[in-house]
Amino acid sequence: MSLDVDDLTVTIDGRRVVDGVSLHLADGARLGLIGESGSGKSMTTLAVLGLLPPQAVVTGSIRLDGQELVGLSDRQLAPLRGATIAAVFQDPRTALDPVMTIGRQVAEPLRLHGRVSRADARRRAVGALAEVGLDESVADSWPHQLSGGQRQRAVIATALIARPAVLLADEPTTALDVTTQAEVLALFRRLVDERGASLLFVTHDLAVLAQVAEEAAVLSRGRVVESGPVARLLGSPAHPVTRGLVEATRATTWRAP
Amino acid sequence: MRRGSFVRALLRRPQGAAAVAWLALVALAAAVSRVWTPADPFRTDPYSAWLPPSGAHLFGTDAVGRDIASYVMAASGTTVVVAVSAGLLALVVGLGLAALGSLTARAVRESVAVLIDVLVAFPTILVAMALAAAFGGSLGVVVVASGLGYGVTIARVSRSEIRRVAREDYVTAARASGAGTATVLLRHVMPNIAPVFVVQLSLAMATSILAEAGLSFLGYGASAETASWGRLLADLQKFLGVHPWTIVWPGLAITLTVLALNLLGDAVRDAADPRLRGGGRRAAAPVDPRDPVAPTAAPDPADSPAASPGVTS
Repeated sequence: MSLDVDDLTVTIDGRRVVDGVSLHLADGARLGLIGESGSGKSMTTLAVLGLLPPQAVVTGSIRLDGQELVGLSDRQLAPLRGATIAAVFQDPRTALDPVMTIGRQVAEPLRLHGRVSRADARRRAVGALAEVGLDESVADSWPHQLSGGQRQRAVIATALIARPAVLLADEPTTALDVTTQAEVLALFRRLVDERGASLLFVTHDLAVLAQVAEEAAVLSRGRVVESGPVARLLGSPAHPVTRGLVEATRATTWRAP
Repeated sequence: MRRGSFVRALLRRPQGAAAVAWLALVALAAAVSRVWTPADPFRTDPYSAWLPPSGAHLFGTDAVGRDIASYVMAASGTTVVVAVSAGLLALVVGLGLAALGSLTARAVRESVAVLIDVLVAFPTILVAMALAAAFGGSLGVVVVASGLGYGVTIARVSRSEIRRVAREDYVTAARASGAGTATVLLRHVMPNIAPVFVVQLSLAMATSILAEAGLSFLGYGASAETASWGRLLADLQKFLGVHPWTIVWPGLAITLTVLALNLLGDAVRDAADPRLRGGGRRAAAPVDPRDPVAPTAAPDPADSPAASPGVTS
């Protein structure tokens, strides 16, 4: 499915956190959204899901295969969330409910969207966990019993279990150490490829972005300042913000794209 | 959470097991006292005043020859009725106000928050005495005053807990999975605030028992026809200098029951929280060796001290 964001503006308490952002995510494509903290990346993701704080004012348009999402009520959006559009958030330490077993959390989108029996939900949760490289015993574990990498794998399993057509990933590897980061990224790439899902990947790290997306938009203070193929952004950045991000990447973990 | 594992975790804790045992005994005594007590708890007998404990009078007798054991047993019924009805009232008032103060439109929710803060400032026991002065002392007054009084406290604590949990990432994640407001509340918010709520509720019940005993002691609570630990304490304390041991029975009953409720609250909280239930981090939930992403079957390196840090592939 394609996702078209057109002139999206989000105002919270009089502050424009997203200012006229336009993005085009083609069916099956992988688009990066990159920017410093506070540039409006997460707000854009939340706007697509309709999960902005209640005082937020949204104008512009977000179309999912042509269907307008801006202005839809929570009740109208709920059937899409988790089933058609799913999300993976930044911090696996806080993204899992501490008093629910992993198996039940992974199965939650199924239980919410389809009439699946408890046994069936569990069977499919175990299958989803296996796909992200976690064994069956994890299904009966509690979040605090898993490591950060295992938790993020569980979160990814939850996002993918209902086979969404569009996946939003909001800094899914930022809270992980570098080794785990590489594993989780590879997992991401493989699963998105296998499913043919469209991916919007939000990050502040160009090196990470180069591994998952072909195209990217650079966001600064709520505006898209530059966009194009990731290789070009890395090789000859035009905008000062992009240059800053490239330098930051070079200074730390430069690898050839 | 599976119910069996919760009950097992509760009873495995010594405090939990002791609290459950004592409260079960009180409840049993209360139930049995409705149909049978060793002697009529109200029958006075001037010829058998101040008998020491014996087979016929397990706890001895008081100044008018009443059987203390029978009276204490009958009074446990009063205690259970007061604690349960005050607890139920506190539950309804507390959850109701907390929901109004956290889930409604901003204007409503902020006014309710102020209202809760104002109501918390009212001293429960004084309100109960004022009510008793206006309507006459009765158990109803005790239940209403302590139920409302503690309900407001519960509302205050739960309100901030609901608001804290509602902002958690896992709630956003659940909503991103397609959960509606009701589902989020039932499946994620309630289970996460339940531990705090249970502790508050057990405190409310303990406080209502203390309030009943205190008010009955002062003559504002249970009427003369109703057996009450507080009343018995008041009757016996007049003779404290002469027969000090008699006061032990109602005193012990009140203390142990309040203690048991407090311990139960803590034990339930600990047993309900998987992080406190024991059974720490999994040693290694190995990554599937067939997974092409993880070519080795090594455990996830994120927290393993053996993994060399900062190695990029």
